[in-house]
Amino acid sequence: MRLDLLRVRSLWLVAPLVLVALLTIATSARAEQYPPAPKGEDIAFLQLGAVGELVTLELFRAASHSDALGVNEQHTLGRLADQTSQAWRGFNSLLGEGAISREIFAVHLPASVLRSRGETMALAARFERLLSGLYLSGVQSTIDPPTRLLIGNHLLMSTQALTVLRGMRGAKLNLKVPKQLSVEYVGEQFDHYLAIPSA
Amino acid sequence: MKTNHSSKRSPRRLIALVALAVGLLMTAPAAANALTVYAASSLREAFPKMASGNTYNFSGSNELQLQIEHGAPADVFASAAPEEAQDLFQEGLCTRPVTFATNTVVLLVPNGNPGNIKSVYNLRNGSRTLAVGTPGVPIGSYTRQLLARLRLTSILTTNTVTLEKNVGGITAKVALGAVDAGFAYVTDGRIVADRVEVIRLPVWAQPPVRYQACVVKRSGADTAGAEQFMKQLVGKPGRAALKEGGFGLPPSA
Repeated sequence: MRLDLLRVRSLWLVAPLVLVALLTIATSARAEQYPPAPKGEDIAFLQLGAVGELVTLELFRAASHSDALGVNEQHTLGRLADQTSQAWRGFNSLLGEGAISREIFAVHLPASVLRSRGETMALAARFERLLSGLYLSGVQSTIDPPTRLLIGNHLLMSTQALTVLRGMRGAKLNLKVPKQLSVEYVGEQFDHYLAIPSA
Repeated sequence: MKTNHSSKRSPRRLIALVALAVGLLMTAPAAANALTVYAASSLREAFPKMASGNTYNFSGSNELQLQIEHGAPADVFASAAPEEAQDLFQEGLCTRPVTFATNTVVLLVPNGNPGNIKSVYNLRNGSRTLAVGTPGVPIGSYTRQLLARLRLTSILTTNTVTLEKNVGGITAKVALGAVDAGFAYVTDGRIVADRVEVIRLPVWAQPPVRYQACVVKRSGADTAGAEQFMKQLVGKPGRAALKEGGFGLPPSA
């Protein structure tokens, strides 16, 4: 019963975002014939998307082994980690030599966060909100249609993840589409968790 | 008799001594022959600290690459980006390049920050003067990559930009207060620390700045000396000098 309720909630939560994603896909109908070829500042969304996915991946990975979470929760976060890893690798394949690797950026997550279930879930939801907001801006600002389509797909994935996380936190029903967030703001937020290892 | 004998011998001894001296003179310059190192401008402090006896030519990596392609008498080439060294390797003009250092791009402002720049995003307002590397030189290429990632490419048109052929030119203009800001490496900021302030740029947007070096292949090159220099560069003395200069270090081999 509880699970069903969660599923219904999740559907309501994700519905507006699916609509946004479908609109993106519809407007880029012909784009899927061509591989993404980011133009000019399109690269900002791919670069920051890759960085954000890497930071989120590290959190999901750590959380999936955290004793502060139940076995089912660990399993769900493990699945989210796999999905995030796929997104990160997808961006990297487009970034080529500029790919975001752990050699270039080290991710530092506060140990205290990982000791608390509430803080872990809150941070995970925050990261996915940042990513959704970034991708929403990307869908609006990207010049290259196949790149826009790709970002639209990532928007869909991150909002799905956000819905799962909200469900796990027992959050109230929320039908609002995530807020668009600027590259400047999202970059600044993820920067708190990054360092250049060799510097 | 004895004296005579000895006086007979002394010209021989003299000749032997002269021959020895000439021999030493002939061999000494070869041993002390300064190695000629062509290196990126940003290495202008670290390299002489590591090995002071060499002849250095510091300039933009792309310019040095061109000079080597035209037969310049370099023994070692060290570039601020992999492209230049890799190009020479592909052309058969140097050995396989080795990564020996990393760096970070920052925004330098003159002491007192007359342009009142708190963050790179302030440059969106325009009407400031900036020193930026030309697109062909590594610092110019890194700067443009970084600005595209920050969605700030427009600052190159909304501000007055002076293009510099190497990072030394950028640092000098900022240090002299001739511009409001300049994009350079964090290591350049350290060289003129008493005359500039450093504004850090977002970590997430940093391009991977990789320095590579190789032994130049040309007739008459001091290959043995160049190989020795390379050993020193990736070994303890090199890593210590680079670290002192603020460079990042790749994992040691």
